[in-house]
Amino acid sequence: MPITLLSLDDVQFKVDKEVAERSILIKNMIEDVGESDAPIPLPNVSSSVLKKVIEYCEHHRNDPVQTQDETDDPRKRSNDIEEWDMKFMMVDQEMLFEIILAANYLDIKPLLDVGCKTVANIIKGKTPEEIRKVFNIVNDFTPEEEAQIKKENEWAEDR
Amino acid sequence: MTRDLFDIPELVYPIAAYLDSQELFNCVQVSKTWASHFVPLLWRSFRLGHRSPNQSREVGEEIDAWDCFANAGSSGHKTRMCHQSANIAFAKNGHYTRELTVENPGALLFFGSHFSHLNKLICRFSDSYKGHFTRDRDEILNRVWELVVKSPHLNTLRLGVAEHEHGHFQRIPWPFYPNNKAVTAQHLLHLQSLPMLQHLSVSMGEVEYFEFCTRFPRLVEARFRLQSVQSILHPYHPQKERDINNNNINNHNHNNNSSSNVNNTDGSNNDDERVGPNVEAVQCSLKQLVLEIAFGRFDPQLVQMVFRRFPRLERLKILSNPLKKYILVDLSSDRQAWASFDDIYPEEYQDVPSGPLLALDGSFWYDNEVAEIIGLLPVPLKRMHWKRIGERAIDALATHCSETLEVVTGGVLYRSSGDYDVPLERMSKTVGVLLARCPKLRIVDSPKLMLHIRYLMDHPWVCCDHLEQLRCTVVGIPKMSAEEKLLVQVVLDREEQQPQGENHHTKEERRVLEKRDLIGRCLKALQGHLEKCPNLEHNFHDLLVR
Repeated sequence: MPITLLSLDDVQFKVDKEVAERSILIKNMIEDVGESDAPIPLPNVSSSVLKKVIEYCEHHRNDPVQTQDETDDPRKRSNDIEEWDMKFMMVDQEMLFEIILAANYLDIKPLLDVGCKTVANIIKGKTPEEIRKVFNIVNDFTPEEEAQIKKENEWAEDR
Repeated sequence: MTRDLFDIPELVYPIAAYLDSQELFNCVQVSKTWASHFVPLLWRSFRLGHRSPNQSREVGEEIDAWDCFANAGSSGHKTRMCHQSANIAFAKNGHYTRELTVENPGALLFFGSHFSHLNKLICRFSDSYKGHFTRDRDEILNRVWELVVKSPHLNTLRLGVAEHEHGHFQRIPWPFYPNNKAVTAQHLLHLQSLPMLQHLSVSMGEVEYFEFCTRFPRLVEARFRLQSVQSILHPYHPQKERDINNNNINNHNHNNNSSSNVNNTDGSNNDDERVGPNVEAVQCSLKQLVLEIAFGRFDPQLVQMVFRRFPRLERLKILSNPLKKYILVDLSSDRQAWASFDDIYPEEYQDVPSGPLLALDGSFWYDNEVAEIIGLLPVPLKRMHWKRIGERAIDALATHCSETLEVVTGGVLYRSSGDYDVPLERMSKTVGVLLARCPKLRIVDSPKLMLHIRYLMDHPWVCCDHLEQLRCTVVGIPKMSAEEKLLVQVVLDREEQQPQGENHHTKEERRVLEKRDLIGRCLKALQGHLEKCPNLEHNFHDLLVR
């Protein structure tokens, strides 16, 4: 039975239950409420973003459920993004952030992971100044503060 | 207006997980908001290494920033500047650190007190690093224990020499700390209050390790370095030693349920009656245990004893230094399910399917030793890795393996020289027994598996593609010498001339005739198998043609 999702701007999307249940939030909702024809409102997600998210879920509908791998190693690898996912993530930064926020809200772990990897890859290899430029961030440090923060934290920089 | 991802802390962490410390350091310098997010993440995992080139540049070109902390005596201007600046930074941010790796223990003397919320402490003591550890050892150790006591949430504790951490176990001589065992053991006894401890690795001194494990309700992985097997078989009790300070340690009774009245003055060999039946299981969640034995011989009984002691143990690795051999027993049904085992498994075993596995490596494994180990394992084996499997080991496998045994050998299952000089017939018989016991036996990588013809005669049902897969060579069909052939011919001719007459054969004649019959039966059996399995190897082509 298809599920109807309702975006922030009142656009309805009909998707297979299997696809919708890639989102743990929706899966739990369906389990809690039971199946019904009523559309599921997603007040945090706009239609343009929801369309992208559904595209992702459609493509990954048959993936095995990711097991929780809380490894001890906090440093993970970000260079193992699948080709399709990589292309999927080639969007402007605004959309990228929206997708990550939506993935977080809808609780779609693999999509969130891919999003975070993409952002991490943007940061990698850039100087602070370049990072500011890419993410359009204003440097609110005074030169003294900047020198101070650099000096204090250099100790933790492990080379 | 876009919502800014970096305003939401819960999303910053998963992104930061993909960044290394240098990249995190760059993020810290972006803006005040970013600094507030990334400073804790940058400091989360901290390494007190041997050098910090950046700081050297800052303070002065020649100085090795970490190095100067290791050297308590130096008090130059640059060193003081270095200390000052580091102290400010550590005091401010040390509490963010959850994982502390100490490669330069001397630095602990200066900054140990700033780390107060550790989950993971890895301390590598190096004897050789400019002698620092040796010089301030007691003081440094005290700092380590202070750190441990201050971190009640400690999940991982590894204290060891540097070599130990890098797995270069076999190449580097063992450090030996004379007279430090009481100190270390007493210190270890202070570790009682670590309810979260899951991974423990200690490679110094001696203590009653087995009892020790029971103190930590969540402990799943432990790694100990022992001076000898004796220290397990005859545990050392620091408490006891203090009580009887003036007495000879060798004569004191063991106060717990282990065997009593052990006199180990000679430091060897009468273990066998004392271990085994007397070992009682302890309440412990330990799943993985690595023992490194510095001195003394390896005792197969140890394997049994360990498994008896820890009923939930799934993986045991024992490295025996003097003979450079190791044994790995893995009983886990799901190898990926828990814990890290990076340096537990050699790379070649990483992809091996789960199931009870025994792997041996190194020379100096004696056939009877291996057989004993196999016999002492608590469950039937599914896989066995060993370069050279001798006769007794095969016998033991035949009684103690599961029906789907897979044996991976380095190529010599049967060897006709050296230590493994086993009579061909006996060897091939035991292979036959093994085959009968394990119809799905797979032997990987063994070009020299000999199978005695008698086995094929007794088991005409043996699956032949299986034999082919095993690359068995059939052996054991007797051959006749030219004289014997001649004699047979003479007897046969005589019988032809007097078909009705009574044939009185001499003893010698009876023997060759029997031999001929045997060869005939052998060839028939071989033929039968060859029909089903044309590629079965054998050396009897000439016999078959006749």
